[in-house]
Amino acid sequence: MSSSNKFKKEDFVIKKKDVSQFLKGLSDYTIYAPHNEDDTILFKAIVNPDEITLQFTNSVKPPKHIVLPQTETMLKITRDKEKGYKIDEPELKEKNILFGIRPCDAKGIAILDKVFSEDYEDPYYTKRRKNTILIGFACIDPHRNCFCTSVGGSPDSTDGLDMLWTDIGDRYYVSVLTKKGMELIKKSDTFSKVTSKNTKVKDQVHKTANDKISEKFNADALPKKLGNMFEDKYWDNMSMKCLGCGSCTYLCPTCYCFDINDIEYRDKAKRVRTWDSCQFSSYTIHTSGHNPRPNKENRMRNRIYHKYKYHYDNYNVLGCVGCGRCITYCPVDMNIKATIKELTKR
Amino acid sequence: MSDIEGNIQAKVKKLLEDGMIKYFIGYESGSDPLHTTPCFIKKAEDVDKIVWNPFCVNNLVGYLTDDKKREIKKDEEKKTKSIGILVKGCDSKSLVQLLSEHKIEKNEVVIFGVSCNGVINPKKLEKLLNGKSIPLDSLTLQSDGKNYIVTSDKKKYSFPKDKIEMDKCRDCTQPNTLIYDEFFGEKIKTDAKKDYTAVEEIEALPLEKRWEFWSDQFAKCIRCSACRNVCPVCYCKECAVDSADLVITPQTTSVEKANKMPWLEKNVELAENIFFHLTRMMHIAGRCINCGECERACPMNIRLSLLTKKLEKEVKGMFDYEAGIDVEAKPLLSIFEEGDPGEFIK
Repeated sequence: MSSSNKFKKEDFVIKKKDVSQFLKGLSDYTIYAPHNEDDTILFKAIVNPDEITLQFTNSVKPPKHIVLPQTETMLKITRDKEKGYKIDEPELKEKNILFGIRPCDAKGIAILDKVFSEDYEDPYYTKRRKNTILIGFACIDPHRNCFCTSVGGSPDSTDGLDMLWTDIGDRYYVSVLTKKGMELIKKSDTFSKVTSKNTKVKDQVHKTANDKISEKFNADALPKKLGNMFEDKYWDNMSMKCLGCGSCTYLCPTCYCFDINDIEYRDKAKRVRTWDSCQFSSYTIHTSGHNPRPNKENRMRNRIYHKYKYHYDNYNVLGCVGCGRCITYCPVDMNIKATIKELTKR
Repeated sequence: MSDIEGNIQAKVKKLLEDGMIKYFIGYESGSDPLHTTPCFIKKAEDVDKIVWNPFCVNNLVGYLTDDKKREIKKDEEKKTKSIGILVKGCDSKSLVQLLSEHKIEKNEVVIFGVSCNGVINPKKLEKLLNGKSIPLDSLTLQSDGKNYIVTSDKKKYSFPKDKIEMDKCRDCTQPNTLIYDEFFGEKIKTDAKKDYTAVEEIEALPLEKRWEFWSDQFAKCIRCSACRNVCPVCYCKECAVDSADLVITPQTTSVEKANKMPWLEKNVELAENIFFHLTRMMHIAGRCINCGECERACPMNIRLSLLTKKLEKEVKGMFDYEAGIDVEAKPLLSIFEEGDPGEFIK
């Protein structure tokens, strides 16, 4: 998916007061950015740069829904008595900018890229993805539940990004990583050359953020360890408190399971693809009534196996970016960090 | 360790050693000092994990029906022993409700009653702590009745109780567990009255404004089902909103399958979200005891307690009925009395 292979990376700075002007010049694009409403930070399509909040740790929902919407209309069918059936497919021409995405969530999108383009090219995802530019903001104040550095990421990781911006005081340090990113820079005269002092400050900001994630553990051993743990009693005990809701999976930047349904209404119908969650009992139920994952321990095991074994086996990368949302928002305080630590001890 | 905590541990230890309970459901320390998490104590040597403090927020009663829902039981679970459970005053109303609906029988549980001075809303406390840059790592908390004294990094901070406790605690009429086998702590007297100010504020809005308010709330929903799954009275194995949960046996005919009406589609759109929430509200009317778990579990901060409070207010006003008070009471919607108001079905 990345076109950065032959691109020579370049760095710039932009004054904070000029950001609004830069964004206003991008009127060809829909800009999705973090927005604070009632203490809930979410990415939304913004009309005015004033709506953006950059004072945030991370959004409640990762912005993966910009490339993988929770509900995607794949086609619409209209029945006409004279003309018969008419089928409309979405054009997906919209050009998007994801402004202010955190490196962990961008890495999540890089993980989704492989899923939706390697074995089979999913036209909906890939079209959207091709038309989306990711402007990342280095994480400066990681949340206590963050553990990106234990799963191959970092607060300044560039995976999946077209640009990485770092707050260096009165300006942002802008690392341009792809041709797509450079094209945006060229549209504006608000960017200037970096000084060696700028670079020093940027490096220090990155280092400070990395140091703040004090808890580190090694998840690399998990794909192998899990190989022998399928029938372990551990799953029965650890999953007892799980409610079987889908908040961990729906708030996860790498979960991508979906379901497809046809919805009819009189002379109209649409085929929709919606997110699905392996934590729901209906997820694997067969038409026969047989459910291969009947209990929540089976479903919880699947979630952990997918993230730390199956995904690694298939794509050579863990299916977790360490954003910590599944800990923060779990109604029963399920702690995936504790799970990983416990599993690595075995 | 408080006396209450020690006494609970000792009693659980005794019951487990005597083989009176198969396990005990209580609280243990969570992922950080602001959270506890449900725990299931199966062995006498693990009782020192049990904690009792103002962070014991979760309503544990739902786990009693959860235990019955497990499709495949392991041998040790087939024993007919009781389950021990720690139940706060508010949560005990949901236990009474489940007993009155015969979802659990009294001889299946050993109820640990407790007096509760209110529990803390971690979101509220965290916001105040962040505002003063108070580190969480070594945080401890004590109460002097009106205030919570937080100690962090050897410094003390005082927070008024009503600023950081759960909303439901502010008009709590049930500080002591209603029915119990053992009681821990001194019983608390209260003359508190239910406060419906927040509900009345919404009621006072013109229709359009109310529609706007609830549309905004429900538009946020990601349909993770956390509200439903955390709810102690949402115990149905097959839920009206999970159309895929139709249990199909070899005897199920194709006509039966075709006629299985999907009441709710999976597409996450406002109309479907409203249907989800209002259906749930109708199903819990006269049964919900306002433990507030649905609102607490919601990652998107939907104000579900306003709806459950409204249910409580209507049920009380129309039928002079309160859920979860009397084990012998018949469920509200299964009884009819001559004096019942009929305006709502005209």
